[in-house]
Amino acid sequence: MHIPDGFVSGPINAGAAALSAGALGLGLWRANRQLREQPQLVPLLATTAAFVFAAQMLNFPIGGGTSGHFLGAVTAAALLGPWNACIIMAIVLVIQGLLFADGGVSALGSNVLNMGVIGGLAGYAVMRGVRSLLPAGRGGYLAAAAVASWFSVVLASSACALELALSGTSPLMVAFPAMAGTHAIIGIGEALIATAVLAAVAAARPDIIPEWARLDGKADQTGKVRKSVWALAGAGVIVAGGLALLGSPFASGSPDGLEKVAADQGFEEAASEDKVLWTKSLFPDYKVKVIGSERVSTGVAGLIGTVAVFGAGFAAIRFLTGGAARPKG
Amino acid sequence: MEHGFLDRHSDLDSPVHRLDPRCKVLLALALVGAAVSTPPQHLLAFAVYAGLLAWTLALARLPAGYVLGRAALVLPFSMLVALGLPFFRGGQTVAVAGLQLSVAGLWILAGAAMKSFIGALAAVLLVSTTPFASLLAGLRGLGLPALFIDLLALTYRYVFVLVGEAMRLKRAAAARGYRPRWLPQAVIVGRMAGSLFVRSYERAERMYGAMRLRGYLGRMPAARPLRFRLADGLTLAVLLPVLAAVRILAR
Repeated sequence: MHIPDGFVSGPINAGAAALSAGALGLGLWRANRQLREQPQLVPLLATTAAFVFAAQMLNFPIGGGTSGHFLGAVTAAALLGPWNACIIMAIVLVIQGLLFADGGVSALGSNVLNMGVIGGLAGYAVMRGVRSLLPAGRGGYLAAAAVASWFSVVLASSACALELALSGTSPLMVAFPAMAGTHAIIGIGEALIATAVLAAVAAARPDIIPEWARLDGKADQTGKVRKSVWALAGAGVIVAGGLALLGSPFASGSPDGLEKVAADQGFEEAASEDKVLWTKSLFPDYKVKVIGSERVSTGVAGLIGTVAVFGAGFAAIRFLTGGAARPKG
Repeated sequence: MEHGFLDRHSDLDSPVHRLDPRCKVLLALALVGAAVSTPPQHLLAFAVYAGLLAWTLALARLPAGYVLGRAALVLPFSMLVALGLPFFRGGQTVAVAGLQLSVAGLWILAGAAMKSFIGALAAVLLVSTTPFASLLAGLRGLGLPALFIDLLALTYRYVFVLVGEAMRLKRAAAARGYRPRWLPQAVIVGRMAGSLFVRSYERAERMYGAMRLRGYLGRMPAARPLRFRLADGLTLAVLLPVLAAVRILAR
């Protein structure tokens, strides 16, 4: 999802940079105010940024021998607040862009917009929205973080596709299903990891998550849970239906053709050579996901992703709410 | 990950290393800005950009294989994003090996390859000739907020520590037979990341204690002041107009 130099046109880049700089400036202003009360915020933000950077190097399998990696925007937002998460993602992206040439220097505005502003701020907004639909307990908190994590990855990758399309670099019908489809699957991993991180933090250091103590672990009433689960499922179906309607005309068109051509002409071999080059790179596991994931059949991936995320969502909700909810047709 | 891995060679000595970091940041931004906004058909302009970077590389006495290899890491990714273009762009086509490829799409592909490589090369040259601390001082001198610079400096310091911890977690999991094959096994990665976060949080608490003992009140003390010398002024005065001229001529 890290856009290199030369992929986003001037006006798009300028707009994205302005939005990112505005959000980052506001975030830094708020952090500066918060600092007067708690100067320990500076080392905390720095180690959390280093944590996000390091956690992005822990790959997880997404099937077919390919792997994805963690983004961490919603996790950071849940732990330290959305504005601080935006700052953290910007720091991570600046270090990746400058020191790893991962994400172009001139595309930094777009990358911060996608992963910091959309991933962190919008992801946190989704989390707040989903929490209002779910019971107020700890299960609801974790389930909301999971849903928001999925959305943060899918929204960030869709924004990336949109920027590439508006710049004339890659047609929307190719970029959108490729990015959103594969990230619909990667997003499931993101959701699993975010939930596991928050649960692990709550178990080891419950004082870190500000609202954890106030969340009640047991008092979820079954009726309330059932109602909330249905509300969430309804909202999810509407969103997914919308996405499918919007996405399917793009998904059904040319990507299959591209893959056929790629297979016929031996580009797939070229791609695997790329993969060899990457595994020899400075960080063996840092980037393989991009190569692998781009090759996943895009339209199908989107469909599987949508279905799978509902299955996973229901499973997660039932698991997290202790089986209290029994959505039965 | 050993320290000094990221900005390797930045502590060498050469005319480029001695330039003021503000000067180098400005030149790198100007060059990348000019390159990404140049239409790909102007190959001569890209030759000038590449020539300037090659000249910098030679002046900086950096190992060429290392610098070019680091920069080339960007190419597989950019190729994958752009590889479909010759098939999807309409307009005039050209037959290559029995395929009808769109000329416009091929130009975009070539442009993306050249621009992403030039951008990556500029970034690698910048960090390989400037220690990260000086680079941050330069960015501060160019007006980036002090808090953001402090955070970048501390993050850079602790990236090594936390990446090391992450790699140890990974090795420990592998030693216990963790060979993930399908998505739900990502939960294990999540638990690893959770334990990594708790460690990083507790490290921040210890760091704050240590910083407080040394008089920290929310702002890092300023580093050595930068000195903008005649050589920096001359370099900017020559190269910025050159870049501007190339960019204006290559319309």
